[in-house]
Amino acid sequence: MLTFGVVMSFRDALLAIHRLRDARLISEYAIGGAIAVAFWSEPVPTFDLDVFAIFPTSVARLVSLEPLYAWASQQGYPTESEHIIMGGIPVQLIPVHNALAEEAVAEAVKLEIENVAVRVMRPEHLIALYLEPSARTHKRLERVAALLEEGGIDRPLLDAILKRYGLTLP
Amino acid sequence: MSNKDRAPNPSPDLLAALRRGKAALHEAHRSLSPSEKVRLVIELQGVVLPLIARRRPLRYYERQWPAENSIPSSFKPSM
Repeated sequence: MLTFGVVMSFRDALLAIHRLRDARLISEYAIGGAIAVAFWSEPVPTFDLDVFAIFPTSVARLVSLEPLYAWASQQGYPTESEHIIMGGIPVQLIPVHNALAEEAVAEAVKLEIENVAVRVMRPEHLIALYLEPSARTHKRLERVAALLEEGGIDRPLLDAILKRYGLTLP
Repeated sequence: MSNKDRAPNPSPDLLAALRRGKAALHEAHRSLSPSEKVRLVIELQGVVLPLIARRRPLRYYERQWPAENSIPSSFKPSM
């Protein structure tokens, strides 16, 4: 029998992301990457937390993440290269780069993690993002396979997303 | 190599039992709560980090997450 306590550092990271939204530096977010895959399937070792973010429409064109790093510095969160260290966890804030990523954030589901309501990308969107030509690595295709096998996929929804964005399963 | 020198083949029943056990472990991991999965990720980090370090220098972000609170003193939670 596995028993676990609350991971306070992870909770701190989640709350820090919410603060970023409260400060209106991002308008919405969703957790993606390996941690999101773990929530739908089986945990795998990973070292950073990928957070996809939609930025406020008042920003005409996003040219820099500097305002995020400035906020982090003011709030006492260290930065290392492209990561902000929140609760001791390297968090990478990734601006949505196309319509698929924006849809994935907009249609994320809420999960309760460490007693915090957190937005997590749906497995169907995770698969679609991993199948984008620029993201299609062996490691990510393994995650696609894991999600297809174990992620409780809504197959009609997945098929519709793949068709809409011109993506195909391997 | 003669048949006598070969390691004995596992019986089909033994293989089936081993596969069932493995499937049960994966299912147990899949059915953990999100919080439990985060805890497991941290445990896995502790397992794989020494293995990665044997192959190449670790990247700056490749380290085990702290399990405990390391929140800045200025932080006031907002849900």
